Amino acid sequence: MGSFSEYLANIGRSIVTLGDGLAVTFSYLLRKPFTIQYPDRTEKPVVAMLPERSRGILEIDINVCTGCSICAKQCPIDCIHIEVVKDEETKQRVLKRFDIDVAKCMFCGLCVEACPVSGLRHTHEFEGSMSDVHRLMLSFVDKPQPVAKPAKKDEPAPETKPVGSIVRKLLADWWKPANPTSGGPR
Amino acid sequence: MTEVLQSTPDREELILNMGPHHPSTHGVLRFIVHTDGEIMRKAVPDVGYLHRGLEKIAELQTYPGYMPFTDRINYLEVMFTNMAYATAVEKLLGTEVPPRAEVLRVLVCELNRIASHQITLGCITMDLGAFTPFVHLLRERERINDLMEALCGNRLTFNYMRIGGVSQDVPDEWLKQLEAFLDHFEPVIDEFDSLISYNEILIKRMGEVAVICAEDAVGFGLVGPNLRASGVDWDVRRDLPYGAYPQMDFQVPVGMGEKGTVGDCFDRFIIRVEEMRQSCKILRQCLANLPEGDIKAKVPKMPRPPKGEVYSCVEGARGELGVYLISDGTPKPYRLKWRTGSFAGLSIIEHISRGLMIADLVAVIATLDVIAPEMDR
Amino acid sequence: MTTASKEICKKLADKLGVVLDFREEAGDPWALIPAERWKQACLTARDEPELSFNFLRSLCGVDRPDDGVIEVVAHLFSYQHRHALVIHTNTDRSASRLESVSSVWPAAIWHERETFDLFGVDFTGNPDLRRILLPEDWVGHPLLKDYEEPDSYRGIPTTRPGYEKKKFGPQLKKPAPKKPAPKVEKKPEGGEAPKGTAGSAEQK
Repeated sequence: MGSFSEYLANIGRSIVTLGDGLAVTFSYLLRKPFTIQYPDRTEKPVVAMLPERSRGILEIDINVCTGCSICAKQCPIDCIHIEVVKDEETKQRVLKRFDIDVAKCMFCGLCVEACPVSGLRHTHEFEGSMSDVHRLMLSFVDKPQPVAKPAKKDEPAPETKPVGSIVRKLLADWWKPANPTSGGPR
Repeated sequence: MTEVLQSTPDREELILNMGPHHPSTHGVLRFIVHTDGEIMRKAVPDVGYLHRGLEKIAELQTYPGYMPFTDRINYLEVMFTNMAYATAVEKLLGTEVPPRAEVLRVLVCELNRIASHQITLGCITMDLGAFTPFVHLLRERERINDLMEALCGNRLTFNYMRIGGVSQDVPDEWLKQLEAFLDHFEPVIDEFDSLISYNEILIKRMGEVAVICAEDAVGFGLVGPNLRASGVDWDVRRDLPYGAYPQMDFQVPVGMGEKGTVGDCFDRFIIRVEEMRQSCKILRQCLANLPEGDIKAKVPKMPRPPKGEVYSCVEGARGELGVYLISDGTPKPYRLKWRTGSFAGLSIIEHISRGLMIADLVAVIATLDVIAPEMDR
Repeated sequence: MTTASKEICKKLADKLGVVLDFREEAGDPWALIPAERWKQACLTARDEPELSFNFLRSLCGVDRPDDGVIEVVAHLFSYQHRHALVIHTNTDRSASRLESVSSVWPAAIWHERETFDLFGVDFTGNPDLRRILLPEDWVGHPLLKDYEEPDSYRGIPTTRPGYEKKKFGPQLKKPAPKKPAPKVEKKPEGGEAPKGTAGSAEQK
C-alpha cells in the first residue's frame, strides 16, 4: 500500500513540477522573440551588424604595405605568401605577390597585431564559400608594384582604402566563372 | 548502430555499439556497451576520433604562435585554455602580469564558465529528453557570444590572452553591456530552476544514479564540478589561488546529496547551476574593482624561456586544466602536455557503468560533462 | 615552493632508502627516480601519511633522443596536505619499458595508455594497454622526436592534393651527437624500434 501511495505521490509531484516548468515556457508566448530571420530579413545586412573588432576574412591594402613580411612570419600556419624582389633598374623593392590562403586561415589575428603600418586588417566579410578550395587563395597583387615607404614620424599615416572594399571586390570575382587572375591553384 | 550478438556457453551478452556519432555522446565519441538485457555489464569508451596532434604542433610553433591553437583544445573552455597556457609560459619567463590584465582575465574566464555551464546543463536536459531548457540556455549563451565578439573579435575561438596579459582592452560601453547582461541573467538562473532543475521526472532520472564516491573520484583523477559533486571540497581558484582570484569573494558549492546520495548525477547537475550564480557574483566584483593601467606586460616578441619545466593549472569549467611545459631555451616549446578534465572524467565510465541501465549511461556521460576534442587533443 | 618540494623529496627518499637526484631549473623542481624503484616510489608517495599523494594529476612521456632515453613524468598532488611533487624516471629509448602504476592510482590506466600510444613506452602490468588516441593499426609513435609523418594512412593522403607538402619531419636537434639518432632513421620505417614491444602488447 505504501508503495502505491508513493507511486501516486510521484505522479502528483511530476504534474506539479511540470506545471511550474510549463508556466515558464508559456510566459515566453508574451515576450519579444529573440531569434532573427537569417540572412535576408534583417534590418541591416549581417556584415554591418557585426561589432567593430569582429575578425572576418583578411585583406591587405597593398598601397601601404611595406613588404616587411612580419605578418607572414607571425602566421602560425603559413597562410600568407609574400614575394618581394628588387628591381635592377630602379633599385626599388617590388611587391610581386601577396596571397592569403583563406582556406587555411584560422582568423587568430596575430598577423594584424604585428603589422606595423596597419595595412593588413580583418574585414567583417565571412561568407565566402567556394566549390573549389584552391580558389580560396586570395591574390591581392595583380601586377608587381613598388612597396610603400613607411611613413616618417611627423608625417600623417597614408590613407587606406575603406575596410572590406578590397575583399568585397575579390569575393565578387569569385562568383564569376573560373578567373585565372584571382585565386586559382599556383 | 550495429548490433553484434555474442553468446558464449556460460553467459549471454549483447555488445552494442553506441556512437561515434550518437547524438548523446557529445562529439565524436564511441562506447562499446556490453549489456545483459537493459543492464550494462560495462561500457568501454573508445576515444581519439578528434585527435589533432595539438601537443606535437606545440613543438613546431613559437610560444606566441601556439596561442591560437590553445583555442582548439576545447571549444567551450577557450579562455581557460588560453589562460593555462599563458600562465605556464609566464611562470617560466618570470613575467608579472599587470593588475588590470589579471582582473580582465578573471572576468572573461568567469563569463566563459557561465557559457560553458549553459551548454552543459542544456545538454544534460536534452539528453534526458527535455529540449526546451537547452534552447533557453543557448539563447543566453548567444548574448555571451555577442559580448565576447565585441571584446575580442570572435565568437568561439577567442584567442584573447597573450603571454604577459591580454590582447585588447575592453571597448567603450562593454562593461555596461556586461552589467546589463548580468542583471538580465541572474533571474534567468532562477527561472531555469523552476523550468527544469527541480522537475520530478528529471530528478528521478538523475538522483541515485551512477554514484561516484569520493575515493573513486580522487583515484580516477576527476576534477572540478565532478569532484566537488562527490563531496571533495576543492577548487583551484580558492585553494591554489592564481591571477586575481585572491581578491574575489565566492563560495564553492559541494555535492550535498540533495535528491539522493552524494556524488550522484543530480549533484553534478545542480552544482553547475550554483556555479553559474557564483560566477555572476565574481563578475560583479570584477566590474566594481577593475583597476586602471596596462593590459600587457613587456614580453619579448620571440620569448625564449630559460631551460626548465613548469606545470600550471587553472580551474576551468571542467575542473583543473593543466599545462605541463618544458622549455629547452629555444623559441619553441620542447614538450607540451595538456591535462584536461574530460580525459579523466571519461576514464571512470568503465568503472562505474557496471550494473547501470543503458538509458542511464546517457545521463552519466552528460553529467560528467565530457567534451571530445578536449580528451583527444 | 622549492624548499617545500625539497623537503617532500627528502621525505620520499628517506622512506625509499635511496638518494634521489633533485633538479632545480627555471619553473618547477623535480626528482629523478630510478626506473626500477618507480612503482615503489609511487606507492610510498601515496601511502605514507606525511606524503599522501592521492591525486595523480598527469603522467606523460618526454622524448630525449640526445640522452637516449624516454622520460616518464608524473605530477602528484595531495588534497590533504596541499602539496605537489614532480617525479621523473628514465627508460631506455630503444626498448622502453616501465612498471605500471595503474594499481596505485586508477587514473594512471588511461594516462599510461596515452603515453604508450604517443611514445611507445610499454607499461608492464597495465590491464588495458592499447592505443587510445590513434587507430590501432597506426605505425610509429608520433611524439617521438624522430617520428616522420607517413604519406598516407589506409590510402588517405596526409597532404591535401594541390598543396605543397609540409609534413612533420624528424625534429632532432642538429644531428651533432650522430650516435643514436641516425640509426633509428635508417630503419625501414621511422619509430619502428619500439614497435616490436608495442605489437605484442596490443595483442593482450
